[in-house]
Amino acid sequence: MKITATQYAKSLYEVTKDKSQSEIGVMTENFVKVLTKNRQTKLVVKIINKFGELYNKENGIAEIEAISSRKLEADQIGQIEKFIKEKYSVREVLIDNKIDENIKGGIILKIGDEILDASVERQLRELRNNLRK
Amino acid sequence: MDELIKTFHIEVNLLLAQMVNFVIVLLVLYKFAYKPILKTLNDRTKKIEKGLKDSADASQKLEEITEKEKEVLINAKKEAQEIIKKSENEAKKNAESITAEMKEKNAKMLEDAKAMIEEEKKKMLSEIKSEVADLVVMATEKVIAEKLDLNKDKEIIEKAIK
Repeated sequence: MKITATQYAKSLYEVTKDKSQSEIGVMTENFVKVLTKNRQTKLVVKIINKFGELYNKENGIAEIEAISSRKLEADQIGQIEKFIKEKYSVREVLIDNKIDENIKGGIILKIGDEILDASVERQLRELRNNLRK
Repeated sequence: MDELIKTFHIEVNLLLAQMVNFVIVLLVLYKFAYKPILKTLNDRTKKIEKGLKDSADASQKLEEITEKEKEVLINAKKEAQEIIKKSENEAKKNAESITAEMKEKNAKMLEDAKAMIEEEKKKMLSEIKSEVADLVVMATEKVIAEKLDLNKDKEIIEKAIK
Protein backbone atom coordinates (compact mmCIF):
# COMPACT_ATOMS: atom_id res chain seq x y z
CA MET A 1 0.00 0.00 0.00
CA LYS A 2 1.29 3.42 -0.89
CA ILE A 3 1.63 6.05 1.79
CA THR A 4 -0.31 9.27 1.15
CA ALA A 5 0.99 12.80 1.44
CA THR A 6 -1.17 13.41 4.48
CA GLN A 7 0.28 10.37 6.24
CA TYR A 8 3.83 11.51 5.44
CA ALA A 9 3.08 15.02 6.69
CA LYS A 10 1.59 13.64 9.89
CA SER A 11 4.57 11.41 10.67
CA LEU A 12 7.00 14.17 9.79
CA TYR A 13 5.17 16.48 12.16
CA GLU A 14 5.18 13.83 14.90
CA VAL A 15 8.94 13.20 14.69
CA THR A 16 9.92 16.87 14.49
CA LYS A 17 7.58 18.07 17.22
CA ASP A 18 9.36 19.58 20.26
CA LYS A 19 12.79 18.91 18.75
CA SER A 20 15.75 21.29 18.55
CA GLN A 21 16.87 22.87 15.29
CA SER A 22 19.76 20.43 14.73
CA GLU A 23 17.61 17.42 15.50
CA ILE A 24 15.01 18.61 13.03
CA GLY A 25 17.72 18.87 10.38
CA VAL A 26 18.69 15.21 10.89
CA MET A 27 15.06 14.07 10.96
CA THR A 28 14.31 15.90 7.74
CA GLU A 29 17.29 14.38 6.05
CA ASN A 30 16.17 10.91 7.10
CA PHE A 31 12.67 11.66 5.96
CA VAL A 32 13.90 12.62 2.50
CA LYS A 33 15.90 9.42 2.38
CA VAL A 34 12.78 7.39 3.20
CA LEU A 35 10.86 9.22 0.46
CA THR A 36 13.59 8.47 -2.07
CA LYS A 37 13.64 4.84 -1.03
CA ASN A 38 9.88 4.61 -1.45
CA ARG A 39 10.20 6.48 -4.79
CA GLN A 40 7.65 9.04 -3.77
CA THR A 41 9.70 12.20 -4.08
CA LYS A 42 7.12 13.76 -6.36
CA LEU A 43 4.83 14.02 -3.32
CA VAL A 44 7.16 16.57 -1.75
CA VAL A 45 5.14 19.69 -2.62
CA LYS A 46 1.94 18.13 -1.34
CA ILE A 47 3.65 16.97 1.84
CA ILE A 48 5.04 20.45 2.47
CA ASN A 49 1.58 21.98 2.07
CA LYS A 50 -0.03 19.39 4.31
CA PHE A 51 2.74 19.82 6.85
CA GLY A 52 2.13 23.56 6.86
CA GLU A 53 -1.58 23.05 7.44
CA LEU A 54 -0.94 20.56 10.20
CA TYR A 55 1.67 22.77 11.85
CA ASN A 56 -0.64 25.78 11.78
CA LYS A 57 -3.49 23.77 13.18
CA GLU A 58 -1.46 22.22 15.98
CA ASN A 59 0.11 25.54 16.95
CA GLY A 60 -3.03 27.68 16.68
CA ILE A 61 -1.89 29.61 13.67
CA ALA A 62 -4.33 30.84 10.99
CA GLU A 63 -3.07 31.85 7.56
CA ILE A 64 -5.38 34.36 5.94
CA GLU A 65 -5.56 35.76 2.46
CA ALA A 66 -7.18 39.17 2.58
CA ILE A 67 -8.18 40.64 -0.77
CA SER A 68 -9.07 44.34 -0.90
CA SER A 69 -9.26 47.03 -3.54
CA ARG A 70 -6.84 49.27 -1.63
CA LYS A 71 -3.86 48.30 0.50
CA LEU A 72 -5.08 47.61 4.05
CA GLU A 73 -3.86 50.00 6.73
CA ALA A 74 -2.28 48.85 9.95
CA ASP A 75 -5.39 49.44 12.06
CA GLN A 76 -7.50 47.46 9.60
CA ILE A 77 -5.06 44.56 9.74
CA GLY A 78 -5.29 44.71 13.52
CA GLN A 79 -9.08 44.55 13.34
CA ILE A 80 -8.99 41.57 11.00
CA GLU A 81 -6.51 39.78 13.25
CA LYS A 82 -8.75 40.31 16.23
CA PHE A 83 -11.80 39.12 14.26
CA ILE A 84 -10.08 35.93 13.10
CA LYS A 85 -8.63 35.16 16.54
CA GLU A 86 -12.09 35.36 18.06
CA LYS A 87 -13.86 33.48 15.32
CA TYR A 88 -11.43 30.55 14.98
CA SER A 89 -9.91 30.68 18.49
CA VAL A 90 -6.31 30.78 17.23
CA ARG A 91 -3.26 32.26 18.88
CA GLU A 92 -1.60 33.73 15.85
CA VAL A 93 -2.88 35.17 12.56
CA LEU A 94 -0.76 35.53 9.43
CA ILE A 95 -2.35 37.94 6.97
CA ASP A 96 -1.39 38.05 3.31
CA ASN A 97 -2.94 41.22 1.86
CA LYS A 98 -3.58 41.05 -1.86
CA ILE A 99 -4.82 43.98 -3.92
CA ASP A 100 -7.53 43.41 -6.53
CA GLU A 101 -9.27 46.49 -7.87
CA ASN A 102 -11.90 44.34 -9.54
CA ILE A 103 -13.64 43.72 -6.23
CA LYS A 104 -14.45 47.48 -6.26
CA GLY A 105 -14.30 47.82 -2.47
CA GLY A 106 -14.93 45.83 0.69
CA ILE A 107 -12.92 42.72 1.48
CA ILE A 108 -12.63 38.99 0.78
CA LEU A 109 -11.10 36.78 3.46
CA LYS A 110 -9.87 33.28 2.59
CA ILE A 111 -9.17 30.93 5.48
CA GLY A 112 -8.29 27.46 4.23
CA ASP A 113 -11.31 26.33 2.22
CA GLU A 114 -13.57 28.95 3.73
CA ILE A 115 -14.28 32.24 1.97
CA LEU A 116 -15.84 35.26 3.57
CA ASP A 117 -16.87 37.50 0.69
CA ALA A 118 -17.81 41.03 1.78
CA SER A 119 -16.77 42.70 -1.46
CA VAL A 120 -18.74 45.42 -3.27
CA GLU A 121 -18.41 43.31 -6.40
CA ARG A 122 -20.34 40.48 -4.73
CA GLN A 123 -23.09 42.85 -3.63
CA LEU A 124 -23.38 44.14 -7.17
CA ARG A 125 -23.53 40.58 -8.48
CA GLU A 126 -26.30 39.76 -6.02
CA LEU A 127 -28.16 42.89 -6.99
CA ARG A 128 -27.96 41.92 -10.63
CA ASN A 129 -29.18 38.38 -9.91
CA ASN A 130 -32.06 39.64 -7.80
CA LEU A 131 -33.13 42.06 -10.51
CA ARG A 132 -33.02 39.34 -13.11
CA LYS A 133 -35.29 36.98 -11.13
CA MET B 1 -134.26 -72.48 -93.39
CA ASP B 2 -135.56 -72.66 -96.90
CA GLU B 3 -138.45 -70.62 -95.83
CA LEU B 4 -136.22 -67.98 -94.42
CA ILE B 5 -134.23 -67.90 -97.57
CA LYS B 6 -137.31 -67.56 -99.60
CA THR B 7 -138.75 -64.76 -97.48
CA PHE B 8 -135.59 -62.67 -97.78
CA HIS B 9 -134.86 -63.66 -101.43
CA ILE B 10 -131.47 -64.78 -100.46
CA GLU B 11 -129.46 -66.43 -103.08
CA VAL B 12 -126.89 -68.57 -101.59
CA ASN B 13 -124.47 -68.14 -104.42
CA LEU B 14 -124.74 -64.48 -104.47
CA LEU B 15 -124.43 -64.38 -100.77
CA LEU B 16 -121.37 -66.47 -100.90
CA ALA B 17 -119.92 -64.33 -103.65
CA GLN B 18 -120.73 -61.24 -101.72
CA MET B 19 -119.17 -62.73 -98.65
CA VAL B 20 -116.05 -63.50 -100.61
CA ASN B 21 -116.07 -59.99 -102.02
CA PHE B 22 -116.50 -58.55 -98.57
CA VAL B 23 -113.68 -60.58 -97.22
CA ILE B 24 -111.49 -59.48 -100.11
CA VAL B 25 -112.38 -55.87 -99.59
CA LEU B 26 -111.83 -56.27 -95.91
CA LEU B 27 -108.45 -57.76 -96.48
CA VAL B 28 -107.49 -55.10 -98.99
CA LEU B 29 -108.71 -52.37 -96.70
CA TYR B 30 -106.97 -53.90 -93.76
CA LYS B 31 -103.80 -54.19 -95.70
CA PHE B 32 -103.71 -50.83 -97.44
CA ALA B 33 -105.88 -48.45 -95.49
CA TYR B 34 -106.47 -49.47 -91.95
CA LYS B 35 -102.92 -50.32 -91.05
CA PRO B 36 -101.27 -47.13 -92.38
CA ILE B 37 -104.02 -44.98 -90.97
CA LEU B 38 -103.67 -46.66 -87.61
CA LYS B 39 -100.00 -46.26 -87.79
CA THR B 40 -100.24 -42.62 -88.68
CA LEU B 41 -102.75 -42.08 -85.92
CA ASN B 42 -100.52 -43.83 -83.45
CA ASP B 43 -97.56 -41.80 -84.56
CA ARG B 44 -99.53 -38.62 -84.23
CA THR B 45 -100.80 -39.55 -80.85
CA LYS B 46 -97.29 -40.29 -79.78
CA LYS B 47 -96.06 -37.04 -81.26
CA ILE B 48 -98.78 -35.04 -79.59
CA GLU B 49 -98.16 -36.78 -76.31
CA LYS B 50 -94.49 -36.09 -76.62
CA GLY B 51 -95.19 -32.47 -77.49
CA LEU B 52 -97.47 -32.12 -74.51
CA LYS B 53 -94.92 -33.72 -72.27
CA ASP B 54 -92.17 -31.52 -73.66
CA SER B 55 -94.27 -28.46 -73.19
CA ALA B 56 -95.06 -29.49 -69.62
CA ASP B 57 -91.39 -30.09 -69.01
CA ALA B 58 -90.54 -26.81 -70.57
CA SER B 59 -93.05 -24.91 -68.51
CA GLN B 60 -91.81 -26.67 -65.38
CA LYS B 61 -88.28 -25.82 -66.26
CA LEU B 62 -89.30 -22.30 -66.99
CA GLU B 63 -90.94 -22.13 -63.61
CA GLU B 64 -87.85 -23.54 -61.99
CA ILE B 65 -85.70 -21.06 -63.78
CA THR B 66 -88.00 -18.24 -62.83
CA GLU B 67 -87.87 -19.42 -59.25
CA LYS B 68 -84.10 -19.59 -59.37
CA GLU B 69 -83.91 -16.21 -60.97
CA LYS B 70 -86.02 -14.81 -58.22
CA GLU B 71 -83.79 -16.39 -55.65
CA VAL B 72 -80.69 -15.07 -57.33
CA LEU B 73 -82.20 -11.67 -57.57
CA ILE B 74 -83.18 -11.68 -53.92
CA ASN B 75 -79.72 -12.83 -52.94
CA ALA B 76 -78.13 -10.22 -55.12
CA LYS B 77 -80.33 -7.56 -53.62
CA LYS B 78 -79.48 -8.71 -50.14
CA GLU B 79 -75.79 -8.70 -50.93
CA ALA B 80 -76.00 -5.32 -52.51
CA GLN B 81 -77.77 -3.96 -49.47
CA GLU B 82 -75.20 -5.47 -47.20
CA ILE B 83 -72.40 -3.99 -49.21
CA ILE B 84 -74.07 -0.61 -49.19
CA LYS B 85 -74.64 -0.82 -45.47
CA LYS B 86 -71.08 -1.88 -44.87
CA SER B 87 -69.64 0.87 -46.98
CA GLU B 88 -71.93 3.38 -45.35
CA ASN B 89 -70.80 2.26 -41.93
CA GLU B 90 -67.20 2.40 -42.99
CA ALA B 91 -67.62 5.82 -44.47
CA LYS B 92 -69.27 6.98 -41.28
CA LYS B 93 -66.47 5.53 -39.20
CA ASN B 94 -63.83 7.08 -41.43
CA ALA B 95 -65.53 10.42 -41.28
CA GLU B 96 -65.70 10.20 -37.50
CA SER B 97 -62.07 9.26 -37.14
CA ILE B 98 -61.03 11.98 -39.55
CA THR B 99 -63.03 14.53 -37.63
CA ALA B 100 -61.53 13.37 -34.35
CA GLU B 101 -58.06 13.51 -35.82
CA MET B 102 -58.61 16.98 -37.14
CA LYS B 103 -59.93 18.11 -33.80
CA GLU B 104 -56.94 16.66 -32.05
CA LYS B 105 -54.56 18.24 -34.53
CA ASN B 106 -56.20 21.60 -34.16
CA ALA B 107 -56.12 21.37 -30.40
CA LYS B 108 -52.46 20.44 -30.48
CA MET B 109 -51.64 23.25 -32.86
CA LEU B 110 -53.45 25.70 -30.65
CA GLU B 111 -51.63 24.41 -27.60
CA ASP B 112 -48.28 24.58 -29.36
CA ALA B 113 -48.97 28.11 -30.45
CA LYS B 114 -49.95 29.06 -26.93
CA ALA B 115 -46.84 27.44 -25.51
CA MET B 116 -44.71 29.23 -28.10
CA ILE B 117 -46.25 32.57 -27.26
CA GLU B 118 -45.79 31.93 -23.56
CA GLU B 119 -42.17 30.92 -24.15
CA GLU B 120 -41.57 34.00 -26.28
CA LYS B 121 -43.13 36.14 -23.57
CA LYS B 122 -40.96 34.60 -20.91
CA LYS B 123 -37.87 35.05 -23.04
CA MET B 124 -38.68 38.68 -23.72
CA LEU B 125 -39.44 39.37 -20.09
CA SER B 126 -36.23 37.73 -19.01
CA GLU B 127 -34.30 39.71 -21.62
CA ILE B 128 -35.86 42.94 -20.44
CA LYS B 129 -35.17 42.06 -16.84
CA SER B 130 -31.61 41.20 -17.62
CA GLU B 131 -31.13 44.43 -19.53
CA VAL B 132 -32.66 46.46 -16.72
CA ALA B 133 -30.48 44.61 -14.23
CA ASP B 134 -27.37 45.39 -16.30
CA LEU B 135 -28.35 49.03 -16.55
CA VAL B 136 -29.05 49.36 -12.84
CA VAL B 137 -25.84 47.60 -11.92
CA MET B 138 -23.86 49.72 -14.36
CA ALA B 139 -25.32 52.90 -12.91
CA THR B 140 -24.68 51.66 -9.39
CA GLU B 141 -21.12 50.81 -10.30
CA LYS B 142 -20.57 54.32 -11.59
CA VAL B 143 -22.03 55.86 -8.45
CA ILE B 144 -19.93 53.58 -6.28
CA ALA B 145 -16.78 54.37 -8.23
CA GLU B 146 -17.41 58.05 -7.58
CA LYS B 147 -18.64 57.90 -4.02
CA LEU B 148 -16.68 55.02 -2.50
CA ASP B 149 -13.66 56.78 -0.97
CA LEU B 150 -11.15 55.41 1.49
CA ASN B 151 -13.30 56.08 4.52
CA LYS B 152 -16.41 54.43 3.05
CA ASP B 153 -14.33 51.41 2.08
CA LYS B 154 -12.98 51.22 5.61
CA GLU B 155 -16.51 51.35 6.94
CA ILE B 156 -17.60 48.47 4.73
CA ILE B 157 -14.65 46.35 5.83
CA GLU B 158 -15.29 47.15 9.49
CA LYS B 159 -18.92 46.12 9.13
CA ALA B 160 -17.90 42.86 7.48
CA ILE B 161 -15.61 41.77 10.34
CA LYS B 162 -17.78 42.80 13.23
